[in-house]
Amino acid sequence: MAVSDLAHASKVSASARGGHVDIARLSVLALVAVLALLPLLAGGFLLYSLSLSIANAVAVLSVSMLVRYGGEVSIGHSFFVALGAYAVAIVEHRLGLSIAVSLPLAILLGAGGGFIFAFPSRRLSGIYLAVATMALALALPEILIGFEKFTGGFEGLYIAQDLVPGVSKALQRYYVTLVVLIVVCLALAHFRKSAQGLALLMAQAQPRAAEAMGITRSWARISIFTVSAALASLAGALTGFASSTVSPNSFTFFSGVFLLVGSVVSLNRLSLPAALVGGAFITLVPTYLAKAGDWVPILYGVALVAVTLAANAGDLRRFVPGRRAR
Amino acid sequence: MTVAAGSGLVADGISLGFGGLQVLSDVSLTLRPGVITGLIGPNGAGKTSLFNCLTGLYRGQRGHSSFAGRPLDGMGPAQRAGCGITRSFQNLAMCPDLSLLENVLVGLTLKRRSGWFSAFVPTPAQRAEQQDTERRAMAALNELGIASAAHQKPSDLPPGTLRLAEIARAIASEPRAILLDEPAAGLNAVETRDLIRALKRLMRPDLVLLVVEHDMDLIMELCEHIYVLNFGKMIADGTPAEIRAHPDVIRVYLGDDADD
Amino acid sequence: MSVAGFIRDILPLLWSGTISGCLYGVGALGLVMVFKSSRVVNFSHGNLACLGAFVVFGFSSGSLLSLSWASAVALALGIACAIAVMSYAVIAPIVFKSDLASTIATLGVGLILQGAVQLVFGADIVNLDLPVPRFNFSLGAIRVSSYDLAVLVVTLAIVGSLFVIIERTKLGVAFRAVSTNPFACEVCGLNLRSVHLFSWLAGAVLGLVAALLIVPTTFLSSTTVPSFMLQAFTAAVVGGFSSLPGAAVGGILVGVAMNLFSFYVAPEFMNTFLLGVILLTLNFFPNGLLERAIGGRV
Ligand SMILES: Nc1ncnc2c1ncn2[C@@H]1O[C@H](COP(=O)(O)OP(=O)(O)OP(=O)(O)O)[C@@H](O)[C@H]1O
Ligand SMILES: [Mg+2]
Repeated sequence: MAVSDLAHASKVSASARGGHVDIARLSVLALVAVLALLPLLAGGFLLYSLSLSIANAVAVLSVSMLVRYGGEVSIGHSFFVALGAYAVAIVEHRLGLSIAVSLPLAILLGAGGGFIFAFPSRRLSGIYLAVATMALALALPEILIGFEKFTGGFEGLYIAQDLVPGVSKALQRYYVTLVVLIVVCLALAHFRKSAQGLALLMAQAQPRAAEAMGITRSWARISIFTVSAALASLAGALTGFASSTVSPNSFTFFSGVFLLVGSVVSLNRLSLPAALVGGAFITLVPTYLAKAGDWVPILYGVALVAVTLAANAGDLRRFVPGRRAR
Repeated sequence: MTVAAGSGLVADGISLGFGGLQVLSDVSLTLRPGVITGLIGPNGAGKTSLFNCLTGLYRGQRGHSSFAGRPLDGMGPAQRAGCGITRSFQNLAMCPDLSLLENVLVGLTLKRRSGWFSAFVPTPAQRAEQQDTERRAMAALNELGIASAAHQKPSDLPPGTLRLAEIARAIASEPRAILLDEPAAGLNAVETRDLIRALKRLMRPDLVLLVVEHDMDLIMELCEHIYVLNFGKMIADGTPAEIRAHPDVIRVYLGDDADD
Repeated sequence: MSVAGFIRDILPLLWSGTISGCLYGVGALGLVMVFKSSRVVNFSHGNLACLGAFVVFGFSSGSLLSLSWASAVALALGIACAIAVMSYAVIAPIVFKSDLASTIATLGVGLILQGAVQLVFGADIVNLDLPVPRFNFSLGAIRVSSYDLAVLVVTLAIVGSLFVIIERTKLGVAFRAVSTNPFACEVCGLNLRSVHLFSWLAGAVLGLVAALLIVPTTFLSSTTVPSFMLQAFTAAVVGGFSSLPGAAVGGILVGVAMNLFSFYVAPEFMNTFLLGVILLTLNFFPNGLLERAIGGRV
């Protein structure tokens, strides 16, 4: 009985899942195709904004990842984004090397920074981490300005080196960020099925049961923040590359909050479309509503409140045990 | 107790209190390998609390515990899991985002060796390991007759299936000690019989198996040795026949419905 | 740095650190009240205080109205309380479900308030002084100003009345019960919502008072008050985040430490210093520096 059961099961579920996957996969492929062809239609400032949106989409993914796998909120991920962006700029200025070298370096730096930052609150509830990230976001501007020798102070630094020689700067910015975003989405899809991914989801949903399976809370908390910070730093490297400049202007206290807004607006999903929605929301809204500048915080605030309320309205079941466990 | 200190899971003089409430007082038990041990007691007797002490989820209790001669005192739950002690949870500790198979896979976390790089980038070694662990998880589900639900989410499944999945998760990692908290709660008669058969098949000479149950028929059929807990005190232990005849047990626990 | 110079500098530094620390403590008390009762870290605390301070400025300086300072403050208190009630109303549906989601929602409320300030008052930097007579006197090496006295008097009055409310009134008993065990309280028929509302209102008042007292030492802009709240957050963390006396003492510790750091080390890295203080406290004293001294709870 059991063996036939198994075969039957895998057949049924394979076709059921197969049908699902096919539609989802096709639409994502179509989206990738559209994105790949977009530079034919858009140029100039629009293409530049799109490149930035894609870079920000990666940053939004880093925050969403922290929420999904860690159940934690960060408003200081701008710190790690800045770490990556300045790594690219400083490596270019000091060593004359391109993003081919500084991109991996940025990932390592982000992981190291994330580890150091998450370590102290490893045993505490997520709200302590949120408070600490607020300090991180507020410390960032003064660090960028204070270490003027390296960071160029208020002026910031320019990033001029190309990755692929002979391709126009605009196309290069666009395609490099797009390819990295797609690779990141594939890696995240793989991560969902990995031992670490499953362990983190279990640690979040059932912390005590997870402990009894050998998954400690502090391991979960440190590792998800480390990974998420590494991703944020990678996003920062892309942001620097896509905008060709880094300066404290792009890393105010609010940039960290805005990344969270992007993540919340994309419902903390880790898919390519969701990331693009989040990235575009936080990039294009301020750019194209520049005239209504003062309305942007209000718009973002309303979005944050509305989406949070809506997302929690129907989802009682999920949150009740989580709350008690903390 | 006439067992060498070096074998099995031994608890000695465990006491635990919450505020003014003494949940366990001076509880000792020895779980011998190769023997299915039962633990019974009325609601609130402290059975789950004893589980939590043995698996390290509750700290701050008095007393000592050891496993295969190795003291467990001061170890956290994850370290004890590393010693090969697994358990199921009375209140169904399933992650709602994971399929049943994935929920069982999590139970194999400690057996997996793939590093962080292969968590993001597929590698041949990682793929082989993935297939291997999935095969083992599938085998555990199969053993309990719920393989057909492997790819469904816990929210779509009846509690009986989830209960069996809890057990599948506990046995999947080939542990050296398994503690099952009310494994038959919510199961129908057929499932219960399957469960008993599966647990008997599972038994090996070097495995420690402890079952907490309210279902007397199951306990009497399955277990060779039974402990009885009442108000946090161990009031009796012995073979099923001895327990059936034990006057204290009849009074506090089995009561009227034990006569038939 | 000579020993004599050190002795000359240290007393005034400690004194002024204590004065500003009182205000960080008052700010932190508001955060801790809200956290204790509803398990929400209120990230809109600073934005609401900032809005309130701007309302006082707008109503007393003539930019909106030219009322007396006292009536402007009364109006601002009313507005701040109304907003606190509204923000709690927004968060109320999810407050029991997920402390994380409600914390995110407070960020949203904070952004809205921040936007409102920028919309109405622009990005201007303005001065907002206390209407107290100016005088100074010396106490040994310490120069005491009328501002210092005002801060001390107001802080003591506020902390004292908070203490009386929490220790002596029915609402205070309910607050203490709720912060110890919210689930048991609901079973016992205590009204959680009214306790929450009380703590949110108290938080708004405390935040506004702290803002009004801190602004004279710097200036008022749409960003100064929210970042001043970092000091309050740090004070709360140092105090253990769920201890009212801890928050007050934590405020003074943070105030003194900041003064020493900015005088002897680097004034331009204040926030980085606070970040370090937070991380070190979380690592070594997760329940606050005062855990052992006062038992960690009220
Ligand atoms: N974390 C805790 N805090 C306070 N009291 C607890 C806690 N855990 C258990 N108790 C109390 O300890 C006593 C024993 O509980 P326990 O869950 O161990 O009983 P049990 O034998 O497993 O009961 P059941 O058959 O209903 O599962 C109960 O009175 C319970 O209220
Ligand atoms: Mg139990």
